[in-house]
Amino acid sequence: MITIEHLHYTYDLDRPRPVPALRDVCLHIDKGEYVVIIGRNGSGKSTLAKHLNALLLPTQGDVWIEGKNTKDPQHLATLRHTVGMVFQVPDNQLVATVVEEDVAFGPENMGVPRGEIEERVNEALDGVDMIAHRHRPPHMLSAGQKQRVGIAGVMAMRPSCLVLDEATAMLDPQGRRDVLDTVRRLSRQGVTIVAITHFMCEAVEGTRVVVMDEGSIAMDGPPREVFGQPTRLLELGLDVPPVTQLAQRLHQRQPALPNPLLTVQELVDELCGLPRPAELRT
Amino acid sequence: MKPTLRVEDLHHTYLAGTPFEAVSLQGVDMEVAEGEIVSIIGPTGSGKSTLIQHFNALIRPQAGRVIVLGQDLGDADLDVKWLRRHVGMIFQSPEQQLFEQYVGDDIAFGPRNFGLDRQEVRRRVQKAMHTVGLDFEGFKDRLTFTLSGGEMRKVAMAGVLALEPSILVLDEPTCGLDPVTSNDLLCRILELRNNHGTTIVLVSHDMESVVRVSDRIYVIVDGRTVLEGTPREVFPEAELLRSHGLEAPQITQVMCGLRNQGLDVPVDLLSVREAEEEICRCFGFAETQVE
Repeated sequence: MITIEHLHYTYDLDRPRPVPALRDVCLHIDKGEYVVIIGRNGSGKSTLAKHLNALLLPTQGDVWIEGKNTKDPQHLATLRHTVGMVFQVPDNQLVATVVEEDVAFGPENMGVPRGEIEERVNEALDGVDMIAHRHRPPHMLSAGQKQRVGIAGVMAMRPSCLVLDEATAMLDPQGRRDVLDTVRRLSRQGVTIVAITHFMCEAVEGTRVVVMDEGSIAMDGPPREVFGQPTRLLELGLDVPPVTQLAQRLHQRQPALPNPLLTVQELVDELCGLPRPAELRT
Repeated sequence: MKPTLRVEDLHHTYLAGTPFEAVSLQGVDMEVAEGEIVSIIGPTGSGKSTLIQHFNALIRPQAGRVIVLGQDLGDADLDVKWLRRHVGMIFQSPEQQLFEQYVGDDIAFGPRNFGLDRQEVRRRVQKAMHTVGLDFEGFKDRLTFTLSGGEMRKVAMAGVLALEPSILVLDEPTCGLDPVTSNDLLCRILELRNNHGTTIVLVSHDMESVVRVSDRIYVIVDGRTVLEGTPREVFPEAELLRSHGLEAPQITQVMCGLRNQGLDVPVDLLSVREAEEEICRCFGFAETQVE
């Protein structure tokens, strides 16, 4: 799906003080993966994401999307339809005055025939659970709902990959839960997901976690492997979720408890599954 | 203790009397004591931002009262300039408000504007930068647009702190910051209260941040106060919070989960350390860590 080879990117290359943002990044993402990218502020996460649909082009190295090099201008339109992007502030991404028109904007621009547009809009709105709001003006929606309309607008172009750049940062807990549910569902349908986040409890959602530091990849593996190394994460300006910290401390006192554990539910289930001394049973 | 900020039955309606009328606040009550850290939580659109904009008279009360530092903000002859010197506001993404070329000038803008002399301005800039953890010599002549997001946010905070406000209001201070930077910022907020006695009001969607610093929490839903108390009182109300689109911090969720499984554990726990002790007691784990 995505192959990144020796990618370097430098901002202000023509200025007296160029700022290197990515250094020699190599990454391969298979179709259907759910990759979460974490890393401290300024580590190059967003710069990397912007290379996935040619918003930025490599200073050096190559990015291949489904076999097409992003540097090749003739592929640009196809690339933008293949990889959809959702950003932090939903308001900046909504263009129309009615939800369904907003979602139709992408396919209309692609020249999709009228009948099919309707079908795609229905499907996309259904996918984010916003059908009931299709005739409402987007600015009257909650932030979480707006963000889901933003995702629907991207999904109506039927991309095979969805990139979310801190799409949950501005949302309240319910809005965050709804967006995560939506992303999880799209992932199950086979859409490749690349999500950037600062919430460590969201990073555990993915099938793979990539940790960026100073423009390079510092760690790459399944969440359980990455969050099993709290000291290393701290060095990289990150953290493990509180529940993982708790589970780790409990594991040190009761080795029968597996380590690392990533969610509240996991810890509760594992604890309740442990044998308890007779005198403590209720 | 005498409250330094008091809100009584506050109402606010946007565009009242027009077809676009939208009720935002419908009876908020709130009290913040001097030197307290109080968080306001609530779902998007619950009126949190409207509420805090009253605190430095960006919005005047339509009905009900707001009393800050002994001043009734409904008074027609309120000295707004005086109020804004004493109530500092740090809005969401304050880094976008930086406008000077140099860090030092940006932080000095407020105190200069209030007519303080050069020496005093310099002293305040130095102190404010120290408080947020920016090295004065190293940063004062840096260009603002070359800073990282976290550094910019610190500069914006320092700009407000340089006014030496007695009340500091922060809207989503940790949003978009990495865990270490946001941790550092929370520590600075605690220090500000502990060392300078600053009263702090915080609005946040991130319960893990809220639980770390708050003395008390107000839950605002649909423009009303629905719950108020210490974090230990508020967060165990898992059902109520969830029904309003909110949630408890993970540690409290774990304890509630264990209680739901029929275990006799307290649910009003907030930190990893105390949860560890309780769970070890309940499950009869080893007294000390197995090395």
